[in-house]
Amino acid sequence: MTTEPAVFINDLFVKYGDTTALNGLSLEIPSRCVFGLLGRNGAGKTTTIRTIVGLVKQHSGTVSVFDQSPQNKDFNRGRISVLFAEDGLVPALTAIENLTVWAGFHGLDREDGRKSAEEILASMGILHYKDTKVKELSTGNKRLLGLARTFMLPSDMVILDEPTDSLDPGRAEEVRKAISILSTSQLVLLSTHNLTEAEELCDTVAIIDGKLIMSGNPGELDKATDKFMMRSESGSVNFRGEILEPDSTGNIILTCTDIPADILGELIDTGNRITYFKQYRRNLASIFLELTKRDN
Amino acid sequence: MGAVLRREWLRYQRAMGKAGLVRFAVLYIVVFGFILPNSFEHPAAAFAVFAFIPIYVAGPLAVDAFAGERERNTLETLLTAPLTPAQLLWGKALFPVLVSTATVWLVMLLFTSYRLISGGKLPGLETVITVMLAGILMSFMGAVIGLHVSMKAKSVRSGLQWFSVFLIMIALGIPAMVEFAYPYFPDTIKLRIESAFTGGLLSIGNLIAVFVIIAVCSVFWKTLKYRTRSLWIMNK
Repeated sequence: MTTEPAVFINDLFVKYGDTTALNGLSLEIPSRCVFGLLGRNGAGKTTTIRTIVGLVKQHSGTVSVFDQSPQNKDFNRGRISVLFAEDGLVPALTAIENLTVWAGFHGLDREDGRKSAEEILASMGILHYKDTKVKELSTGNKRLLGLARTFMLPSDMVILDEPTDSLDPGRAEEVRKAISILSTSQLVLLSTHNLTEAEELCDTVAIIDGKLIMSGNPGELDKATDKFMMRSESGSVNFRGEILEPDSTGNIILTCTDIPADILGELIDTGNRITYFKQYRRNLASIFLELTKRDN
Repeated sequence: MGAVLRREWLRYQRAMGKAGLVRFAVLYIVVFGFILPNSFEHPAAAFAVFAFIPIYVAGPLAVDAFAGERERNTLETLLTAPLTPAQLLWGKALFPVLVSTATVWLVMLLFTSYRLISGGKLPGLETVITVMLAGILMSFMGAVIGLHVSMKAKSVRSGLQWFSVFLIMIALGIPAMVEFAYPYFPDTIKLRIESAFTGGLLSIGNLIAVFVIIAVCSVFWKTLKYRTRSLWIMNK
């Protein structure tokens, strides 16, 4: 396995007319992982994806994808498979026709294309829709078909741009399951603003807002803090001689660097009748909200 | 290129449906294969119609090429396929050229059969072959104009409106300009022009006209190639 990053972006500036979409983004995407690209709407996630596949031109900075510039005319687009927020499926064609035509773009003949298409549709449990026109499919099934197209052929990188956006929770869960099965041992770049999805699926995440704000492993980010939330029978608690009053929701917030078990023991020993005690954890959602806070 | 061509054909077939294809065929056979050519008495003039029809068939099909992709939100995904700009452009251009040429040749065959059965006059083989070849050229011209419009248009409907304006300019503007300017030409020039167009379909005048059309198509094609490459730059 190579240690070289699959995607290397350095100090990237991208503009659409007068609007700056990326403002000095630097990012490295390892060659085998599920990499989450997080950011608010308009943070530049789709622009980053477009830059990686060579659909936008940078004003300055460096972009290297598999050691090649995506703007290079010899850049092999076949190595990357992309599912944009719109599925990109031809509405008038049936599910199988969409997939076989796509296989044709990759040089497969009709027979092989059909075989690959049927295999992926069967593995995703939507083979019975193969002869249904895309325009007659539900939003969720279109998305699954889009995923099938994206994962149908072997590629070095799969990019999914907000794959569960506009899906109901049940369908979103189905799509997430499909992604987690299909993305085994493959580089997947997942752009999302769904933090649960990122925590569930990604090995590494990067939060961007025009530029990189932070990156790391979602597990490592999920750290305990020195804040505790509690409730007591009497409403308030006495901690080391100080009376802590509850907030409007009835919760009492305590900040202390001691071990949680020791704090709880001390509270009980001093006569507090504690009914609820929880240590705050710094998770992806809180980091995301904290880091992407904008002045309105 | 073959895959793009197949995709276009499948999409066209599915979008039209069987009933739509039949309606389309009947309309073209009646209007372009019967009413229009029969309005000319001279057999060569009747056949000349078939040289110009392809532009009206190929153009609207070509307008759909990129404007339709944009409208259906499929362009961005298509651009991520491992296709070169040349493969994409040739696939998109050949589809209207092949469909319009095949349609017009079929309509021409039906018209010829009708004339043979009804005992009507037919032009010589030279005229028929020239018209068939001119049909291909005009198909290509219709396609390149349609593709240019398609590159810019935000929707198929607006593209078709622009294409219609363009056609009206060609169909009415050029003859009107010629009619307006011709009387002011010096007699010697008029004589030269008239003599250039005598001598049948392979006259110098006709050959020059064909050369001009090919030159115009070449320029259009070159600019199309450039514009196709620029599709990959969404923030231009």
